[in-house]
Amino acid sequence: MRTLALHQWRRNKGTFLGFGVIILIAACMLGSALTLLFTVGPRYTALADELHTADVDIVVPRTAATADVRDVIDHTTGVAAVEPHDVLLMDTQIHDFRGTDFAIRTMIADADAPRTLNQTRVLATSGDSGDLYIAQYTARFGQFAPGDRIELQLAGHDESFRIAGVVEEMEFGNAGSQILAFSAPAARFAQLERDHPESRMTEYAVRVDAGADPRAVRSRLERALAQAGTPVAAAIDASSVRATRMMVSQLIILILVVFAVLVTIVSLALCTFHIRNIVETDRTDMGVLKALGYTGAMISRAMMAPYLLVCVGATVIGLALSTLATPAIGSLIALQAGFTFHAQADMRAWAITIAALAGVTLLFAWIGVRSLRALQPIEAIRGTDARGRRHAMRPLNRMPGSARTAVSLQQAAASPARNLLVGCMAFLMTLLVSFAATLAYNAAVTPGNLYNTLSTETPQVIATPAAGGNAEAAQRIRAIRGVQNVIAYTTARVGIAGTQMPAFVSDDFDATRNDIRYEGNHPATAHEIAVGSALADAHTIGSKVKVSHGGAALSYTVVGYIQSVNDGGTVCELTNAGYTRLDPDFAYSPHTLYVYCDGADTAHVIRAIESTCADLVTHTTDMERMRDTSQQMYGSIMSAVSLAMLILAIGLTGLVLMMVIRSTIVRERRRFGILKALGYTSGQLMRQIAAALMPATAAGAVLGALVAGMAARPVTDALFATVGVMRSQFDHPALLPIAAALALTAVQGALALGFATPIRTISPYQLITE
Amino acid sequence: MAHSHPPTGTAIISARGLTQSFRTADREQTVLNGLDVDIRRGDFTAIMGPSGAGKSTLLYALAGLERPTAGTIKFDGETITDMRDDALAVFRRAHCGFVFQQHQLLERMSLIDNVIVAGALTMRSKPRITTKARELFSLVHLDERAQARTSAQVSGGEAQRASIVRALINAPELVFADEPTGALNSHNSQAVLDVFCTLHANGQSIVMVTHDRHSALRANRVLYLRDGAIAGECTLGAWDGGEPYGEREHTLAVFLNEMGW
Repeated sequence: MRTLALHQWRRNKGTFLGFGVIILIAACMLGSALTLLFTVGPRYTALADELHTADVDIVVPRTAATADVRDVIDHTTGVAAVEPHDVLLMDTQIHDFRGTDFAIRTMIADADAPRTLNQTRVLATSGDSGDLYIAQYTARFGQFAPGDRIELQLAGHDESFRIAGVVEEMEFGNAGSQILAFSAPAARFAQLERDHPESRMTEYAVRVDAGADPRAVRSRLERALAQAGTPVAAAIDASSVRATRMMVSQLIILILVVFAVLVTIVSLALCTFHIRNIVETDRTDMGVLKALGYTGAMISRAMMAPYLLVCVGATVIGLALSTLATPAIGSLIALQAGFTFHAQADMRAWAITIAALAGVTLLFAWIGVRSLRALQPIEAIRGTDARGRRHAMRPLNRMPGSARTAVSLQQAAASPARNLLVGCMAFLMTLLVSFAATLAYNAAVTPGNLYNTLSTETPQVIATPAAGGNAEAAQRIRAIRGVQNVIAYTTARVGIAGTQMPAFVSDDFDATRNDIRYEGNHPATAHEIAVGSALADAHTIGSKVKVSHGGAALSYTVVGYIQSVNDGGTVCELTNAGYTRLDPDFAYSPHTLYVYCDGADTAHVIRAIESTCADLVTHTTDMERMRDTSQQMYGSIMSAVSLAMLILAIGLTGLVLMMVIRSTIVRERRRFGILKALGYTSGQLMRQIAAALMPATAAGAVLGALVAGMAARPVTDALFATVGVMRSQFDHPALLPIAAALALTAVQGALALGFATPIRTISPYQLITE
Repeated sequence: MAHSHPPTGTAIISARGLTQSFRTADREQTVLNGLDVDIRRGDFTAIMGPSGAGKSTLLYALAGLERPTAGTIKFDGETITDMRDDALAVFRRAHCGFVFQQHQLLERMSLIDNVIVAGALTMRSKPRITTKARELFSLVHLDERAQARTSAQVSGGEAQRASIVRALINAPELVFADEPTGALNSHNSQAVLDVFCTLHANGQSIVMVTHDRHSALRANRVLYLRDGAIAGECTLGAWDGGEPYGEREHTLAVFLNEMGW
């Protein structure tokens, strides 16, 4: 049996190696995916436990942090322990955050205050004294280092800090929670408290009872405090923060698993195809072996053994390679999620990968050799074995076209199994290439599509007017050359069902350039509201919803739904009058102005605003620069993903074609030798081989293009829905699937011609005299 | 494709200094040793010799299927030993037809499709090839039912006759036959030889390798190969379709005896 297995290996080394390469790729992807699956979550949990991260954090204005409030919190069901701390919470502009101005709320804590909950760990320091500690996400993503200066606009006032160090903190992590954490040494913190009294807050870090759901406890706390008339400035829970931070890793794991499964399917299809080929061509030899006394099971095992060994060997190598790939992916996850993660090999991941790939390889190899068990020796030797007898080809006079065309078509129709394999490959790869092309088109060719899909409204310039100067500032800015439109668009905060959320306030929602509404209408009156996707299930269009702010709680009619990826769909829209009902002071407070340019240089517009509205506008932000930076970042990532998909498609196509054509040449050597003897040139035979694959390729590519054209939008929408996008701004040009099909057919044809060159080495004389 | 035919008796193939050596694991074996031979147009030439004399090697070298180690071969004045592989393929399709010992028909194709595949090399029109094939099949007494079968579904003799049709479809100047009756019983052998004789009578030039005396009797010229060279030549004259015994057999027997057969 060992001899037989070695014989199979020697005869089909090339095919086994090709099979091994594909399994290696699958193992590398699956190994990485499983390693991340088994290690990212536990690492996150371990860090959160190490730093005693609170389950719920509630932030209230310091003036409202009374003993009664503490009492309410202590007595809320599910609360086990509470630790209050003085903090500052304010709207902040972080200048030069990854090259742009980044607007987000920041919470600054006293770095020297002792803590039991929400501890931090210093990862790097500047050595000498600085006056601000930044979180790891801010450092890595924002591209800051200890010793750098960081410019913050805190509640409208510019401040400059020297970064004292970078800390690990698990309370907020990344920008997904809409708050970034900082801490300052005691003296600096005290000064900030004096400079920003309106931002003084008390943070209640809460530990919930064992088994309690942090989300539920948080909701109870928000409702209890709202009932007590206590304004809640911010509320987060560890479960929601974890979900937001782990979203990227889950997406990456999902993509890796899908690709690994795809690659594995291709390799297994090849395995079955190849084994069936061998069984067919060596049927006489099999019959002889059986006549000698070998059982069907023994022969089957000898044939399956090389596949199993190659699979295990390739899997181990693939897993070893994954130890190089996984850290790179882990680093990306750590960057996005904002915690320290170093990917390490996980034995469970390895064991599962080996078991899964070896198991399915055995199964598919067994499917390929099944017919051997029923093989009758003498029938196989005589060639009268019904299963082994290959069907006669379709007669040439039934094939259309000239004599040579008919011969090519006859060859094309000769092997249904080969056509199925090649056709399915073309179908799958056309889908893949089409999807990659769509991604690249919307991320790199028209980058605004991807950006608008993932973002809320982003004008070119944001201008913050002084109190009482809203209308005049808007009027003056409109008069600046290059300005197309100015609308008031302010982000406030309200509460719905005890949950605090951003509220976009404007009378000009229809004038926005990125419509985040996906159903119904924007609010148009003082009694209307549009709610985010997270609230859609609980609030149908036309229903009433209670909205609270400060001590007020008023009823509004839901008129539409909006999306917001950053807020997880927990947002709403109100008109100016609608928000003023909740906060009468809003009419007199500054309303953020969104400035839209007509392609003019935004720097010029900003200079014009600063010169003509110096008395009315306190600050301007170049959003175009931020948008460009984000678009470039998204575009690079998506282009890289598209390129990887393209390379994978071409690589897989090439591998499959190489093995199909090699096995064809081996199997049909005698036929090629006879045709050469008759006078066919090597070039003619190579073209015949390539042409024989074209009908199946073209059929698969056309079907793939049709499915891609019909399914691209629903699939993309479903994919984006997993991250909270309810309205995709992607374009799906019909040309892309068509181009993908044409390109793939051309590539497959070119590759087939290339792989058919071993035909040249076939000597007709040798074959005839063999 | 029609070829002009210069007067019979002229050399269609001229080989000079033909040498063929094969390298085995431990030594080099020379099969053809500086051989000179002319194959004349219109002849039915039989090549005989002891086993391992190089008969098939000589046949395939003359047909452009095997490249000799040394020497030149000219076909109608054109040197074929200098040609590259593709040029040789074009040469073969234009000038040569082959009948192999094991017929070498393509397995999954019907007999007529095997012929069409060969005819497609020189003719575009499938109906035209089919018509010509049917005419040739009638010559070898294979009806349409047999033509529609594959080689596995017909007898060895029928398959070999189909391979003759395949060899003739492109109107070759020369038909090369390598032991065409080697795998057949006597009845089928006779049928195949009858076809060769009919073709020769119609002007077809044939070169046939055989170790069978009765097959050689059908030729008009017998070459004896020994020690890598042509040891002798015997002219039998045209086969008249009658009994193989008598003068022809006696002439051949004496010749073969002299050659040490």
